[in-house]
Amino acid sequence: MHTVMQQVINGLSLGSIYALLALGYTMVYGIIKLINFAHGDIYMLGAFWGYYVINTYHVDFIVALLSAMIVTAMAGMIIEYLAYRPLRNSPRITALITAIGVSYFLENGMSYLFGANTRNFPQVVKQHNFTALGISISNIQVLILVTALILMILLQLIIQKTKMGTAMRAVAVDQEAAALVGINPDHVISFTFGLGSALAGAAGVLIGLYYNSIDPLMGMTPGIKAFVAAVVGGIGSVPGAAIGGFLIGLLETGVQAIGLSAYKDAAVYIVLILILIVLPAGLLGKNVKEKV
Amino acid sequence: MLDVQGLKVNYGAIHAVRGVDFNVEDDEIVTLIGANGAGKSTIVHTLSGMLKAAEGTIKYGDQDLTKMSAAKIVGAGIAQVPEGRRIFSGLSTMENLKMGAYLVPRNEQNDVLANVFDQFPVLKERKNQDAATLSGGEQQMLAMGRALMAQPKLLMLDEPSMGLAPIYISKIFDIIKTINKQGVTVLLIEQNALQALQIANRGYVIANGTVKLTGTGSELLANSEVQKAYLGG
Ligand SMILES: Nc1ncnc2c1ncn2[C@@H]1O[C@H](COP(=O)(O)OP(=O)(O)O)[C@@H](O)[C@H]1O
Ligand SMILES: [Mg+2]
Repeated sequence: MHTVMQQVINGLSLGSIYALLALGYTMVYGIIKLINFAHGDIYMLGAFWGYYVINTYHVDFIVALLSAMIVTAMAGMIIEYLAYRPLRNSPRITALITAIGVSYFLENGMSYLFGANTRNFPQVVKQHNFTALGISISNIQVLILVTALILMILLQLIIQKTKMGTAMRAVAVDQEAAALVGINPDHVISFTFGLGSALAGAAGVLIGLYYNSIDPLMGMTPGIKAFVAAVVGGIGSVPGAAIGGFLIGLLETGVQAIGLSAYKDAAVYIVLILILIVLPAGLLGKNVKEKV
Repeated sequence: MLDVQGLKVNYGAIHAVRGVDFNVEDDEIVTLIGANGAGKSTIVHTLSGMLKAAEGTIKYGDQDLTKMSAAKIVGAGIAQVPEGRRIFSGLSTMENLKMGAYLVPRNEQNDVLANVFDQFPVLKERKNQDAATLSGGEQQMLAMGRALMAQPKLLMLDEPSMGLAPIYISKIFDIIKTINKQGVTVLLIEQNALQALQIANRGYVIANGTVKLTGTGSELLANSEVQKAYLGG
C-alpha cells in the first residue's frame, strides 16, 4: 500500500509535467489542426532559459519560472509567425513536415550554439524530503504539483472566462465565422501558441528542478509522450490533455515500480493503441458530428 | 450607402462572379435572388472581405471595401449572417452573442444585448445553453442576433430561411422587416424568391455570376421570367 501511494505521488509529479506539455499540443491542434512536433523543444528552451537566468542572475524559482514562460511564449509566437503562418492554406502534411523541421532546427541549433552536453540544472530550491506514513514526498514534488495545478486553473479561467479565450474557442470551431464577427484569427492563433508555449516553458523549468539535468535533446521523448497524452485525452480537449498527462505519468511510474523500467515507454504506446481502439476520439474527445 | 461596380471574383480558374453592378441605399431592403451556384454567396463574402475581388469596386460611403480586412469591414458597420448559420457550437448562446460584439466597447454591449433579447426572447431563455443544442430556427435567430450585436448599419443575410420549418420562415422574414424599420439597411440573399421580393424594396436576379434582371420587389414579382424561373409558375 505504501509503495502504491508512493508511486502515485511520483506519477502525479511526472504526470503534471506531461499534462502541461499536452495542453499546448491540444490547444494548437484544436485551433489549426497542426500537430506541433516542435512543442517538446519549446520545453527544452524553457529549461535552458531557467538554467541561464538562475546561473547568471541568481534569480529565484518564481522569477526563473515566469521569465521562462515569457521567453518561450515569445519563441512559440515567433515560430508560428515565421514557420506556420505562411503555410496556413497549404495541405496539412506540409505544415506537419515543417513542424518536424522546426524541431530539428531547435535541437541542432541549441547543440551548435551551446554544446550538446548534458548539464546540471541549478538547484534554486533546496530539496527536503518529508516522510509521513512511510511515504516520502519532496518539497520539489509539491512545488511541481502546485505550480502545474495553478497554471492549469489559470489556463481554464483564460479559456472559459476571458474575451480572448472565448475567441480561441470560436476560432477553433469556425475560423471563417469568427472572422465575420470581427475577430482576427491570426491574432488568436498567435495567442494560442504563446499560451501553449508558456506552459511548455514552465514544464521545462520544473523538470530541470526535478531531474537536475538538461540537454538540447531533452524535449524529444517527453514531447512524444505529451502528444500521446493529448491523444489519449482526446486531442483538442483541454481537460482531456490534463487527464491524459496525469494518466501517462502514473502509468510510467507504475510500470517502473513493478520492475519493468525497460518497458515504460512501450507501455505508454500500448495504452495509446488500446485507448484508441476502444475510444477512437480519446477519453474526452468529441466524435465529430456534422449538423446539416 | 453601398455601391458595387464591375465586381468580378474567381476561385482559381472558376469565374464565380463575372461583372456585377448593384447598389443599396440607406434604409432599403434589397434582395439578391437566384438559383444555387449563381454566385450570391461569393458576392456577400467579397463584401465582407473574406474573398478578394479580381476586378471592380465596392464603395461603402467613401470607403473601398475591396481594400479592407474582414475585421475593419465589421467595424465600419457591415455584418453578415452567413449561409448555414455557422453559430459557434460548444459556446453558449450568450458567448455567441458576446463574440458578435467583439469590436463593440464593453460599456455599450449591455444596451445592444437588451435590444437583441427584445427581438429574440427565445435567446434570453436559452442564454446559458450550448448553442449546438438549439433548434435550427433558434440557431438562425442566434446567427441574426450575433450579427446585430455588432451594431451594423448594413446587415447582410445569406439565405436565412434555408432549411427551416415554415413557421420559422415567416417569423424570420417578419424579424427582418422589424430590424429594417429600426434603421438597419438590409441586403437579403434568398432562394425563397417569393417571400424575399414581398418584403424587399428592390431586387436583383443573379444568374451565372451576372445580374440578369433588376427592379422593385413588385416589378420582379410580376415579371413573367421571374415567375417562370423562381416562383414556380
Ligand atoms: N470555395 C470554392 N471553390 C471553388 N468554387 C467555388 C467555391 N465556392 C463556390 N464556388 C463556385 O462558385 C459558384 C458560385 O457559388 P456561390 O457563390 O456559393 O453561389 P450561390 O451562393 O449563389 O449558391 C458556383 O459555381 C460554385 O460551385
Ligand atoms: Mg449561397
